[in-house]
Amino acid sequence: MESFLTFCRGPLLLLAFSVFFLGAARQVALTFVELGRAYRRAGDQAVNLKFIFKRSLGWIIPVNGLRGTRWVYTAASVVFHAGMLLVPLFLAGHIELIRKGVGLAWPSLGPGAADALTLATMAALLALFVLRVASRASRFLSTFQDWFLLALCMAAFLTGYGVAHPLANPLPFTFVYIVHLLSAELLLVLVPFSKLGHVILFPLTRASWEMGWHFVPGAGDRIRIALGKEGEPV
Amino acid sequence: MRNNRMFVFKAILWCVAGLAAAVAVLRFALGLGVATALSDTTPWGLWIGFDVMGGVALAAGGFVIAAAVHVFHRETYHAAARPAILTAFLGYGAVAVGLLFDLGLPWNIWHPMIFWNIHSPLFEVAWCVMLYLTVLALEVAPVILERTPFQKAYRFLSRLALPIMILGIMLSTLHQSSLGSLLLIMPFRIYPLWYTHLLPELFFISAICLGLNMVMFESSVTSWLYRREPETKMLGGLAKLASAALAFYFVVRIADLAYQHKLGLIFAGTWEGNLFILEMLLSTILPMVLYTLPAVRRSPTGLWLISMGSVLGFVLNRVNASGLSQIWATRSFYFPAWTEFAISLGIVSACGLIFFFVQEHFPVDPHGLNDIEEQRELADKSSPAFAPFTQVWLGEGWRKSARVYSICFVVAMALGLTLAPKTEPAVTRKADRARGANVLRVGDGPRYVYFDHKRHQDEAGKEKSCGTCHHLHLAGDVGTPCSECHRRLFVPTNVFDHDRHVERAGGRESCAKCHGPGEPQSLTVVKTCQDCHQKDMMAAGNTVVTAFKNPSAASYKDAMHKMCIPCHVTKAADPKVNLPNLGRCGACHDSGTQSEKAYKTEVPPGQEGIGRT
Repeated sequence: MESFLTFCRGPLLLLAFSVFFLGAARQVALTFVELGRAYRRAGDQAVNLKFIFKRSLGWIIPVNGLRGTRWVYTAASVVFHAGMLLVPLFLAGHIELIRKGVGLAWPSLGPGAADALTLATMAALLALFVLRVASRASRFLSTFQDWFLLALCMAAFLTGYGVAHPLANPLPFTFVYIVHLLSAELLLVLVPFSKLGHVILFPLTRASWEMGWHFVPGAGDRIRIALGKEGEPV
Repeated sequence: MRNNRMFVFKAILWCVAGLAAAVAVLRFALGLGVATALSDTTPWGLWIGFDVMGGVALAAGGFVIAAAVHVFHRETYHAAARPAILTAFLGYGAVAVGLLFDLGLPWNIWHPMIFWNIHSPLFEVAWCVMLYLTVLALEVAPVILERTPFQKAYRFLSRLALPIMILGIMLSTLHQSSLGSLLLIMPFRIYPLWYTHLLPELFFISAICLGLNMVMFESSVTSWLYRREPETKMLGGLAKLASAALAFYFVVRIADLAYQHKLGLIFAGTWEGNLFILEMLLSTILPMVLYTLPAVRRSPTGLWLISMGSVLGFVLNRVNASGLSQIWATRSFYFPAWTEFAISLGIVSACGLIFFFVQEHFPVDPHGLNDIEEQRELADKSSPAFAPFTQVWLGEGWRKSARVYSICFVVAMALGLTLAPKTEPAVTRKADRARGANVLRVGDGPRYVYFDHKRHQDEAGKEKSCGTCHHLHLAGDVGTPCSECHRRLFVPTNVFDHDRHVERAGGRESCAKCHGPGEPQSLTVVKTCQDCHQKDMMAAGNTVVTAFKNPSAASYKDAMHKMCIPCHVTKAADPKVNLPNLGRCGACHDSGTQSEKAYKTEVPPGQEGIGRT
């Protein structure tokens, strides 16, 4: 058990980070290739970069969503994203681990703030799950990875809380620690290969979306052929 | 229909390249000790034997075919000219990159351009590589430029093609042979079956043989990968040429051995003899005989297999000459670390990928390009695909391939970063890495004493026994080699730097710090080294050598004899050890009389008289 823990903290963590960074670089490079290709084929090549930038910012700031019909979902999502970003990056324990490994360090969250954020994130995760189950449309649109990634995030945060509070944790500490490491490493590895890709690609998403508007009329017809759905309404 | 054969092959190449990329990062970030199994006794490893020596040899196809087509006007081989020159360019690029990996201070690779050492064969090698690489770049450039808008440059280079080609043939001739000259300075290291004064000539002749075989091998492989009709007629002609060249090589090599009375060594049953037989069979004898059979020359599979065998055999020849044939002299067994294999294979893979890229996008092979364009059009029309897990649109044609290839590269690189060692292996302690750890050099000449450091260490009590022999160290060092102080063979050396000590101790006022106040300031009235260097030099307590008052170190001969002989004599008298000859001269020396030699079996027969005084 202990040796497996060392393995999870050592080589496996390095592997997860390697896959994460290299895979992220690969996704960015491929996206740029695709964007360039789309740009060359676009009819109207006057692309408004400022507009893309504004749109990207607009999607990060959830004002519109909070005024919509599913504002609870939006609110939960914002809390979840804040926790997802801040806790892993600014937890004192994580920073210490990185400092030991590569010698880099930065200011950390206080233990109280970290605990509060973790609990809030878990609550938000639960809310996201319930709202996804409750809505018929969401349920219909959800694929395997939507459920799986929710569960994985939950596992990572729950076990993380367990590791930070060993006394409040009924399970064996080593076991919880290993589950925490494995779930977090799996999350890292999945970033370049699943919908988590938006972690790296969100600045480029608006750009590809924008590019779609620049195609000549009728450009979508080939998509229908490509999908093998000729004659059907898309 | 997509060419799956090519697709899978390229995916494998990308994987290997990814692995090598990871190792490359670690090699340049953490150094040679982490990434290789090299030591001071074996400073030349796989990267020199395979990447540099083998890479140059594999590139020989370029100048051989260029000479055949442009000098001897054999137009039959015209189709092979451009791929061969491209291979040569990539081969030499691989040599340069491989060398960059192997150099301890790779950023000094440009030094031969400025700091000329005209007595060094390595100087010639460096210049030949640089010049020939430039010439090859100029030779390849028209292929790239032909279908680009840079028509002016293309026409200019095309007009210069013949002089450049001739320059290339000249430089190649120089360079292939200068790699042989490089080995001439090691008559006592290279096993006699490989060492000869004809090394430069043999390297050149074998390069021609290898060049022809390489062109055949490459042509067969690309035909198979691209599902093209093999160019049997051209291959048959090359096979005939190769057979003649191989016969010439065979005759020269065997005649040279016979002239030196070394033929007996081949069948002596030693490891080296068997290695020689394997090398000659694979590289020379089998292809020489089989290429004369018309049935073999008509069979693409046969030519593919035989030429591959010959190419491997000649690469083995280079590896033998620059590495394996030296084990008998250095007595240090070196096996490359997996990271070394990764780099070597990665460089080859990268070369292969560049070769295919150029082949597919530029008119390297006038017949081939049409086929390839056809295939690309077919691929573009093929039905689209989605990623099974994410349902992401994978695109079509090369972009789809690019997604798969980049995954291969990224995953392999991540695995490489994880698996590759980050620290030097513990066994390469300084004592084991020190030059002469296994062979104690005697003077500057060819004389040496075989010394198994590990065995002595084990006998004397392993880790704690260092001090038994290493009685004194340089300040701050551990396991300082004997020759650091016992510098000269028959004359003692003064190892105490008085001026430096005076300077460090505080000038003229500081005499009393060592010589004591009021005492006559002489050699006899002085502190010992340990009085001050108690921490950073070994204490005299657990060593067989106890007299340190004298700042002069005994001559190397005296020091060694006084150190070794008492122990050896005691052990020889001990019936439990059961080594009655241990105390005799021949137990260590093999440069003496016949009676001494009788106690040594490691000396290869026929070695008498070579460099022995």
